[in-house]
Amino acid sequence: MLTAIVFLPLLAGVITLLAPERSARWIAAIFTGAVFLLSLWLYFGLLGGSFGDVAHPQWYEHLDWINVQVGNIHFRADYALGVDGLSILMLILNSFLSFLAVIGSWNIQPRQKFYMALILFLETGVAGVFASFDLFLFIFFWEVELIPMFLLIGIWGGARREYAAWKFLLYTLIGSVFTLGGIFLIYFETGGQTASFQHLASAGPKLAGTIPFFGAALSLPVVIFILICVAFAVKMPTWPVHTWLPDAHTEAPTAVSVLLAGILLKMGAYGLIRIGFGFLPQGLEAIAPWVGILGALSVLWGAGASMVQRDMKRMIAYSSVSHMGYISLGVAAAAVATSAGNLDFRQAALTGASLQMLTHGVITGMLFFCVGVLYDRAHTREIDVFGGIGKVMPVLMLLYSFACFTSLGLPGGGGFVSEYLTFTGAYATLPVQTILAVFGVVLTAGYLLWMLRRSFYGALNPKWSWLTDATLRERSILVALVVVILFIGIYPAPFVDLLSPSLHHMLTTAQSVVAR
Amino acid sequence: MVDYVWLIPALPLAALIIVLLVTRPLELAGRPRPQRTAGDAHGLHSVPDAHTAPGDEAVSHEPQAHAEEHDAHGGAHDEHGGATPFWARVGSIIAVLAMVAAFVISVIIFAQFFTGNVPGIDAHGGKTLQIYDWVSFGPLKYAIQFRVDTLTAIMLMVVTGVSMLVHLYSTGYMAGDPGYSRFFIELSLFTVSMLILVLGANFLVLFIGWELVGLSSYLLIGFWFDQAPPANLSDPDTPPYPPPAALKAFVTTRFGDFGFLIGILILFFSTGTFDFVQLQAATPHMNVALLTLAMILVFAGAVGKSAQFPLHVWLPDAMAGPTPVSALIHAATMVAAGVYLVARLFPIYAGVAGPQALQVVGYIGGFTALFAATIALTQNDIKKVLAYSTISQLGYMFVGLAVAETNATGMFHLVTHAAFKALLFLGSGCVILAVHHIQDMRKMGGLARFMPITALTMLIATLSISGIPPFAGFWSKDPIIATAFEYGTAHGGNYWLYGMTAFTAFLTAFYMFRLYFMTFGGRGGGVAGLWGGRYRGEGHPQEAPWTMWLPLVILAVPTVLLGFWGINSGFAHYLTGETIPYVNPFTEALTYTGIAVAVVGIALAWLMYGIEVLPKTLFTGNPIGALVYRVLFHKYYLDELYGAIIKYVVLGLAKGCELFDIYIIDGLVNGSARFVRGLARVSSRSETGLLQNYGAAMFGGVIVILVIVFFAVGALK
Repeated sequence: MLTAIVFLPLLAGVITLLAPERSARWIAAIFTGAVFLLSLWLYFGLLGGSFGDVAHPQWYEHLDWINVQVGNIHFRADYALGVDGLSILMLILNSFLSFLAVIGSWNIQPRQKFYMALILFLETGVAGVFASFDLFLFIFFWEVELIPMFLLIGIWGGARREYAAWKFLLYTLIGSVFTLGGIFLIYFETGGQTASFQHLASAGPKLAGTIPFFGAALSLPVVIFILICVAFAVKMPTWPVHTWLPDAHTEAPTAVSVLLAGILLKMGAYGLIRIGFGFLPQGLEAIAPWVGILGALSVLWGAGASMVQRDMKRMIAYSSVSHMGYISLGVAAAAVATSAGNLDFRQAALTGASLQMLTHGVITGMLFFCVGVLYDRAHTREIDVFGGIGKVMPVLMLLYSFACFTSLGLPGGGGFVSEYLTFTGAYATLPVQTILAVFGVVLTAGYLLWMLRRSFYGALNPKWSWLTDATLRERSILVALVVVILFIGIYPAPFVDLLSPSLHHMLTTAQSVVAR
Repeated sequence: MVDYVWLIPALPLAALIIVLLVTRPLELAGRPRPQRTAGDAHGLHSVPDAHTAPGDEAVSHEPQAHAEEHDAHGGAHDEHGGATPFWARVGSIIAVLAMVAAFVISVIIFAQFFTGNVPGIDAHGGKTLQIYDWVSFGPLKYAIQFRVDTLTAIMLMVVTGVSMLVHLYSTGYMAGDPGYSRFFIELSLFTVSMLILVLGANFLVLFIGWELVGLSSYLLIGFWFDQAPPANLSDPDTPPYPPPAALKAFVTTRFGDFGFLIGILILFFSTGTFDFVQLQAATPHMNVALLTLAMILVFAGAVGKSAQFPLHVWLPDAMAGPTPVSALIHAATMVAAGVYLVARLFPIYAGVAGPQALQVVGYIGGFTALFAATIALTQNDIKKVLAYSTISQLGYMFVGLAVAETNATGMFHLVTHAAFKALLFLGSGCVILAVHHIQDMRKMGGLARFMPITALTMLIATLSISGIPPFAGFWSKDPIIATAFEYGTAHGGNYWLYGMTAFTAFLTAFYMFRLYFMTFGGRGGGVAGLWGGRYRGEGHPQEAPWTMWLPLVILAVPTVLLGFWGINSGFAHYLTGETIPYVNPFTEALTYTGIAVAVVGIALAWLMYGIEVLPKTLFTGNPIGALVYRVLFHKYYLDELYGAIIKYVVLGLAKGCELFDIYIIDGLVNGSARFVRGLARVSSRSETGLLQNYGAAMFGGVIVILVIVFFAVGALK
C-alpha cells in the first residue's frame, strides 16, 4: 500500500515522459488523483482501529536493502515503510496538494511533459520522506526530492531562477551534510545495527554522555540533536537560515510555490518532530528555551519582513517563515518537562504545532494559488501597481480575502485552531517566547490586510480594467481548499484524534526520560 | 426553550447560507449579460478557458455593469436609482424573517428568566449547553459550549432586537445598491458572530465570536470598497474613506486582542479551564498579582473592541461603513462587547482580582468618556459626532462597572444606550439619504419640517442621551454618576471619576443638542428654534420610506420607557437576583445637580445653535480658545502620532529585518555560493548547464559528507 503511494507517482512520471506531450497533464492528473484517493484510504482503512505510533507503525512494509560489514563497522539500511497519525496526515496533504498542483499548472509552458513528470517525481520523493521508517531511507528520499525541485525552479522560474535554484540547493545540501553526520552519529551510538525508527525511538532517548569537541565536553544528545536538525531548520525554515525561501518562492512557478510552502517546508517540521523530538527529546529539552526563542524570532522577523515586501509572493514567503515559527515554538514548548502535571499542556502545544503543518500547508497553498491567478493575467505581482481590482475580480477578491483571514488566524479557519492550541499549550512551559510569538498575530493582520487594501480596495486603476475574474478551473481549486480549511477550523476533532496516539507516545517517552 | 437557544444564531446563519448559495446566484443569473468591452482587446492576456459557465460570466462582470454606481462622493450613488433585483429582495426578506424569528425566541427566553421560570437551571443561575467538543487533552477541555443566564438573555434581546430592526431598515436604506445581497450576507454574518460571542460559555467560544465580529466589522466598514479616495483625506470634515478605515479597525482591535489573548493564556495556564463558571471557582487559588495582571490584559481586549483610549481611533473612521452598520455594529452591539466581557467576568474583577484591575477599567473609562466628548464638541460630520458620543458613552459603562457593587449599573447603560444610540444612528441615516449623501451638519438645518417622524424620534433619543428624566438615558446614566460620587466618598474623597463623568454629562448635553439644532432646528424654527428653521443644503429633503422610519418609531419606545425598569433597582434585581437597596434619585441633591448640568448644556446649545443669539465663535474667538478648538478638531492629533509611529518605527524595524537578510545573511551565503560554484567549475570544467552544475554540487556535497562521517566515526573510537 505505502509502496504504491510512494512509487506510483514515479511510475506515472515515467509514463508521462514516454507519452505524447498533449496527454501528459491528463496522465499526471489521473495518477495524482488516484494517489490522493489511496492516501485517503490510509486514513479510512484505520478508522475505528488504531492509527499507530512510532513503536506500532501501521501499513508496515519491510525489506532488507543495504547490509554491509566493513571491518568492525556494520552498515545496515532497510527498506522500511510505515505510518502513524503524523505521517498519514502529511501523506494526505502531499497527495492532495500535488493533485491540485497538477490542476493548477494545466496550461504551464514550455515543456509541459517534463514539468508534469518532475511534479510526479517530487511527489514520490516527498511521500518517501513521510513514509520512511528507516533513518537512512528517510535521508535518501530527503535528498532525492531536491533534484526535481531544483529543476522546477531552475527551468520554469522567473528572471532570477538560476540564482534562486542554486541558493535553494546549496542551503539544503549544506544543511543535509550536518544532518547526515548526525544520523551516522546516532546510528553508531545506538548500537550500529539498525536505523529503524522503532529502534531509534526507544534507544535514542536513552543516549547520554558527552562528546569531546576541541577540548570541551559537549552533551552527546544535544550535539546529535543540533547536527540532525540543521537540515530541518533550513527546510522549515527557521531564522537565520531562512533567506533561501523568499528567493525560491519569488522565482518558482505558482504550483511549485504551493508545493514548496505546502509540503516541502513541512518535511523540516516533520523531521523536527519525528526525529528531533521523537528520538532525542533529552537533546531538545536541554536547549528548548533557545529553540523557542528561534521560533518566536522567526515569527516576528518573518512578519516584519513581510510588511515591507513589494512582491506578493515574496510577502507570502516571508509569512511562511513567520507561520513556521509557531511550529518550532510548539515543539520546543512540548519538550520542556518541568513537572509531570503539565503533560496535557505540552500535548496541546505539540498537537497545535503538528496541526499547524497541515493548516499552514493548505492556507499558504491557497494564498499562492490566489497570487497565481492574478499573475497569470497581469504578469506582475507587485502589490502597489494594482489598485481597486476587486471591482473586476470580485470572486478572486472573496477567495483571496478568505485565504488572508484564515492565514491571520481568524476563527472558522484551520489556522486559528492550530495557533490557539499552540499558544495555550506553549505558554505553560515557555511563557516569554509565547508572548512574543502571539504578537505575531497583530503583525500578520497588518501586512495581509494592508496588501489586500492596496491591491483590491480603492478606485479601480484603469490600467487593469481588462482583468478577468478567476475561471471555473481556478475556482474549483480554491473552493476545494476553502472546504478543507473550514472543516479543520470548525471541527478539528478528527485531525486531532488522528495525531493524538503518535504524539502522546512521543510525549510519554520524553516524559520517562526526564523523570529518570 | 433555553435548550433551543442554538436556534438563535442558527436562524441568521441559515439565512446567510440561503442568500449566499441560493438567492444571490439566482440574482446573478437573472442579470442581463453586459457587452464585453475592454476585455477582448486584451484577449492575449486571458487564459484560454476564461469563458466557461454562464454564471461565471455574470459574476465576472457584475461590478463593471454597475461601475461608479456607489461612489458616495461623486454623487453618483443614488439610493433610488437602480431597482433592487427580485431575487435580491427575496434574499433580504428571508434575512429579515430569520431575524424576526430569532428575536421572538430571544423574547421567550428572556421572559423565562424574567419570571424566574427556567427549568434545569444550575446553582450559578444559568444553563450550559454542550454543542460539540473541539478537542481535549486530559482535563484540558476545548469545548464549544453555550451558556444562557440572565446576562446572556438580556444581550440576546438587545442583539436580535437591534439587528432585526437594522435588517428591516436596510431593505430601505440599501435599496438599489449593487451590493444589496452582499450587504445582507455580511449583516447576517455579523449577527451570527455577535450571538456566538454573547452565548459563549468559555473564553474559546467568546473569542471565536469576538474575532468573527471583527471580521464582519471589517467587511462592512469596507463595504464600499471600490470608492475613490476623497481629495482631502486628512481633513477631519471629510467623511472617512472605507479601504483604510476597514484596515485600521481590524488591526487596531487586534492590538487589543494581543493583550486579551495573553490574559486568556495566563488564566488558562493557572486554572486549566476556559469556562467562566469554573474560572470563578478556580481563580481564588491563583496568585492575586498575576490574576490582576491577567484581568487587566483581558480588559485590553475590551479597550480595543469598545474603542477606549488609546485604541479608540478606529471607531470614528468606521463610520465609512453604511449607516445601518454604524447603528448595529459601531453603536449598539459590537462595540459594547468589551463592556459585556467585563460584565461577564465581573465576579472575578470585583471579587477575586486586586482592586487595581477595576481601577484601570474605571479610569480608562472615565478618561475616555471625557476625552471623546471634548472631540465631539467640534466635529461637523453628523456621524462622527455620534461616533465620539458612542466612545464617550462606552466610557460611562466602564465607569459604571468599575465603581458599582454589581455589574448591573454598567449593563443597564449598555441596554438603554443600545436603544437610543441605534435610534440616533438610524435617524442620521434617514437624514443623510434625505439630503443626498451629505454628512456635514453645516449643510443641514431646519429638517424637522421636512421629516417630522425622524426629527421627533431623534429628539427623544437626544433628550435620553443627555440624561433628562423621564427618558431611559437618565435612569441609566444618573446611577453611574451617583455611584462614582459614592465611590469617591468611600475612597478618601477621590472624586476624579465623579468629576469626569459629571462634566462629561454637561458636554454630552451640549454637543448632542448642537447636533439636533444644526440638523433639525435653527433660527426661525417653531418652538423657539426646535422645530424647523432655515435649510442650508440643496434640493428638497423628504421623509424616509416606512421601512426606515418604522424602526425609529419602534426604537423610540424603549428609549422612553426602558428607564422605568431601573426604578426600584428592577434591572439589577433581574440581572443579579439580589435585592439591592434602592434610593429614590429625586431625594438626592446629586441628581438635581446632574439634571441641572445637562440643562445648562442644552441651554447653551440652544442659545448658540437653536435661536442663534450667541455667536458660534463664543469660545473660539480668543487665541487660546482657537488653539484648543484646533487641537480638538484634529482629535488631539493622535492619528498623526500613530501614523508616524507606524511609518517610522514599525516599518523602520521591518525594513531593518529585510536589510539584515539581504546584506548580512545573504552576503555570507552568496560569498560561500561563489566559492562552491568556483569549485564546481574547477572539478567538472563543463558549461553552465543546470544538470552539470547540480551533479558537481552533489559530488562536492558527497565529499563533504564523507569527511564529516569520517570525523564523526573517528571521534567515537
